[in-house]
Amino acid sequence: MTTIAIPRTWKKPPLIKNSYIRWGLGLAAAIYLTLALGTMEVNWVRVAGGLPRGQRFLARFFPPDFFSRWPEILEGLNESIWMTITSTVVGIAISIPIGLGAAKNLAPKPVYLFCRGILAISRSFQEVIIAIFMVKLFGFGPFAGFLTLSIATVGFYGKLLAEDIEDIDPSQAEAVKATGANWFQWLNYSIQPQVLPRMIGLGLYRLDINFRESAIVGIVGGGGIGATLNTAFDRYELDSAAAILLIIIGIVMAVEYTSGYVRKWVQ
Amino acid sequence: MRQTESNTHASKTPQMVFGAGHDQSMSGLKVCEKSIGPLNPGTNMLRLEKLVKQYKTGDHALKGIDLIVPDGQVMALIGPSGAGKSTLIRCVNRLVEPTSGRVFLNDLEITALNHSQLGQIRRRMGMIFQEYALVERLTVMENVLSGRLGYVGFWRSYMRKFPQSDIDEAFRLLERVELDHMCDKRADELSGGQRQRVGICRALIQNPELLLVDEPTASLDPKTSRQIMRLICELCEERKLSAVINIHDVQLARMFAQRIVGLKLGEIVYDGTPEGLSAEVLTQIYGEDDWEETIERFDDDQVSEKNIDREEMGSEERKVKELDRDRLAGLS
Repeated sequence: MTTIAIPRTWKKPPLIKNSYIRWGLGLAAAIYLTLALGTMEVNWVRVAGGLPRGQRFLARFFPPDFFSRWPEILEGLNESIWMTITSTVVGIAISIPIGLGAAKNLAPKPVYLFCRGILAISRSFQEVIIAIFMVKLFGFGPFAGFLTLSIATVGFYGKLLAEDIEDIDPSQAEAVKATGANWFQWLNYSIQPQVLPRMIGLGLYRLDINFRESAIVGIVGGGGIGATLNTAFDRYELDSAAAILLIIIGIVMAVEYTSGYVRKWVQ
Repeated sequence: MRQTESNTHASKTPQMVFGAGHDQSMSGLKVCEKSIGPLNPGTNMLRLEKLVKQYKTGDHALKGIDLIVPDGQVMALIGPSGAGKSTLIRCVNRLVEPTSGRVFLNDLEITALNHSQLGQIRRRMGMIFQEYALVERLTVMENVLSGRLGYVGFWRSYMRKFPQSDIDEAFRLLERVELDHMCDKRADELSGGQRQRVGICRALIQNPELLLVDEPTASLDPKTSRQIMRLICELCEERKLSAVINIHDVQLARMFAQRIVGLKLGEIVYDGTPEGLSAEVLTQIYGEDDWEETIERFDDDQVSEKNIDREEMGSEERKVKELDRDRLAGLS
């Protein structure tokens, strides 16, 4: 009797093993989505009416007027740049010890949990919410904006620093430890060289984010170019507002380009 | 070099030593034929007593190892993957904390030291790693000088202002391995053999008494592997260092070590001379296979090695350093 080789079948193992859960989840998502879309009310008449109004509104942005409000724009820019730089520097300075503490491979468990807690809190609130709170505490002006952006920077930079430290090559760290180096020397010789290039890049990226956020923070009373922009809108000086928006776009692009260049250079 | 040769041969027989309690752990195993009484304790560089390491996962990496490495001995630790070789040498400088048992360096109990004393003792043990473990974004010089971190304060090391004597020694070592012209290159620009030579300099600038070497040749080609092993052994000879070398490659171990210890599943199953490493012993360590060829090929290699040495002996006037330059020429 000749044995016939039965072809062995193979299928990629599914992500979720239990087929009831797998199909159930898919079905539930489909039902929710249908219901959610079904209950969304769209007033098509208003949408149709809004489009030409939007067009007229946009038309008033042109031509952008840089000159009639130039002193105010300059002051706002000055405040924004001050706010951006100080908050980035202060935020990063605070986030370094917190980031070290939040790295699992560096810190003992209680310190790790404490630092992760700080990061989670500072990340759970959007900048605008913190800004409203800070304006209520310290009054209108760029100081509230500075505090807001510093807190936001700590959450962002501390978390990324901690994750970058957790991703280091442990053998390099082990080798430096084996020389008898103390803890600070070990940080300086094995951890810092591994994370520094990426952290410089992220610092510049945060600078760029902070400048953009400074415009938002200004709208809720945190000073800076955002406040100037808000005033321009309130006075219906839309040509000045357009000028401010163009300046913001220009600065963001300039920072973006420089930070990309610097990041490539430090690698 | 000639002295190296004669010393190696002279030291091969009397230094085969078993630790206390060895017989217990070896009961039933008849692999070790050459048991010689313990040496004078003062000459023991490294002593392990009933060393046990159990990982959190429950794996028994080391099951009560007793081992004595005398002064100036180059010992190879062979065994299959997972035998506990890496764990064993990491327990010596406590990069891995042993679960129980004691480790002595020159009769100083390493396992009893507190955290700050540990840094002091780690300076006296140079470590060379698999895959080199250089800090890739630091320069060659910084990597070498990092071997002095245990001796200088934080600010000095932070500002990279090491004492002139350290810098002199770093250049001397780099010159010795033919890399002094590369001192400002970043470590990741170097080839594998070059990186391992920097790793050797980093270990030696610690001015260690003992070298812990973890798979130094695992990622190197066969020729470079030999050159690195030869360099390590020569340097041990020059500086009268003891060395524990973890190595996969049985032939390399037989070529360069004075003593071979075979580890299997956390236990010593062979302890003796390179010549005693028969096919039966290799079966004992690694499991059933045809080992005859491994041994034969080694014997051929040994003959050619000796020829090379004889050639070198011929030219009396040449300095030792020049010989090294020739030997290392293929490395860069």
